Amino acid sequence: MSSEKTVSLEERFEHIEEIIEKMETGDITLDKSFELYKNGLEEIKAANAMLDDIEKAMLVMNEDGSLEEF
Amino acid sequence: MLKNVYTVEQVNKYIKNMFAEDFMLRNICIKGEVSNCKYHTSGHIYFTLKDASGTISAIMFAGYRRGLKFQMKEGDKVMVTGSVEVYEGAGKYQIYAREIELDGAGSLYLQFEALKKELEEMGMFAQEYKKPIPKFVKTVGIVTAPTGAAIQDIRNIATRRNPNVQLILYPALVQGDGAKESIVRGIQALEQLGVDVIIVGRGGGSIEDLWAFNEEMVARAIFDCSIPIISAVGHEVDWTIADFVSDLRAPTPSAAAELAVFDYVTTKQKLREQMLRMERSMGRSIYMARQRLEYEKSKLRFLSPQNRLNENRRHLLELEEKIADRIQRTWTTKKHQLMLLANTLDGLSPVKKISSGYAYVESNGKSVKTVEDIHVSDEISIHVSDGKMKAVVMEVSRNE
Repeated sequence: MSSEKTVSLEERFEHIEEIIEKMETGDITLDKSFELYKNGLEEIKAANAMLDDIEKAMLVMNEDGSLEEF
Repeated sequence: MLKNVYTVEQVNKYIKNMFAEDFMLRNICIKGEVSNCKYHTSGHIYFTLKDASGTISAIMFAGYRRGLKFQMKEGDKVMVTGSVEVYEGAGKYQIYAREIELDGAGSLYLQFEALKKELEEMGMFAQEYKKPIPKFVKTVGIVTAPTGAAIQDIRNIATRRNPNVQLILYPALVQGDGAKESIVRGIQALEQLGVDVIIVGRGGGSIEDLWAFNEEMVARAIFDCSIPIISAVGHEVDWTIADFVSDLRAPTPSAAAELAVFDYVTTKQKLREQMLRMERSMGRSIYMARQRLEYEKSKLRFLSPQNRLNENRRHLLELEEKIADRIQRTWTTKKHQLMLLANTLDGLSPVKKISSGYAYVESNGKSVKTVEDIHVSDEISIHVSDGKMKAVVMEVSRNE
């Protein structure tokens, strides 16, 4: 779970691009295609989840370093 | 009467102490004109401050040289900040300078230029030190005033672009006393908190209002910060030292929010497009696999025994046709040849010869070619063109 968290959205986008490029070269087996597709679906799902992660109010930092809603 | 007598040392110490205990003299700013300015090889600078009424000696020790941003020279109008203390060795007081700034019109500009030049020479503006601004940030730290247009603009734009990004404000003083320290603390606090990017800035104002962003300590804090910093000071036309040293300069606070926060809708759209591309790709792969299957199937069908048989049968039929054709052609050729021969033969026909007066003689069903074949009294037949005659040989003679 924690290793999952370290993947940034940018990295996910890069990975998705990579997958699509591989799929679009066409020089791959059907099995590989399915595998890439499955992989890509997972990445897109994860990216969407990251994008929609929690709505946040703006926070303000106090002198003591604590945070509260602004 | 006995007088109290003191040593020089005692008096000087006494006066020195008086000065030291004076709150105002410990931190004072004096303005005046520079004269007798000497840059000593030790790094200390000795000079005299004067105005129309008089003079005061001044010294800046090498250790404080960072408080002087320009080459001080005779006649410069300056403001010297430091402490007025007594120098016992000469029995005189003087100002120990910590900071010297040019006074009067254009001095801020000169200070700006001098600091800019210095920091540039130190490589603090160099491209190689600029950190890239991450494309998809989740938390944005903001160092600016909690009131005023800048924070509202940033908040509006950021929220409009992406409501899911976490904004964290460090409420800083952005002008006046303590502003530079407050900005530096803000940068450090947000760095420690660990945001993805920091926006440092404020709304528009006069050059004096924006001055905190031209302070060396702010520049250094920006340079030293391990998190990428976007500067956003004043309007498009305002360039501050902070802008040169930051990782990215935004012309305004609104623009900084645009640069820091990725657009949610566009990004979602892009993901959808990628989904479509992947589906299309997958569809194509399946289609191609199916095509290939069809091809293999037809190839297999072609190689089947049934097909072989049909193929042989077809071949046989072809051969039959070929043979029939060949026969037909041979027959035609022969017929043609025959006709030619018939014509030739016709030319040689004895009947033809007979018709022109010649006759054909037979004896006992054999043609007579020589007198040897004939004897006197033999019966012969003489053929002419329109009939034949029977005759008896009366005489046989041989040509001599």
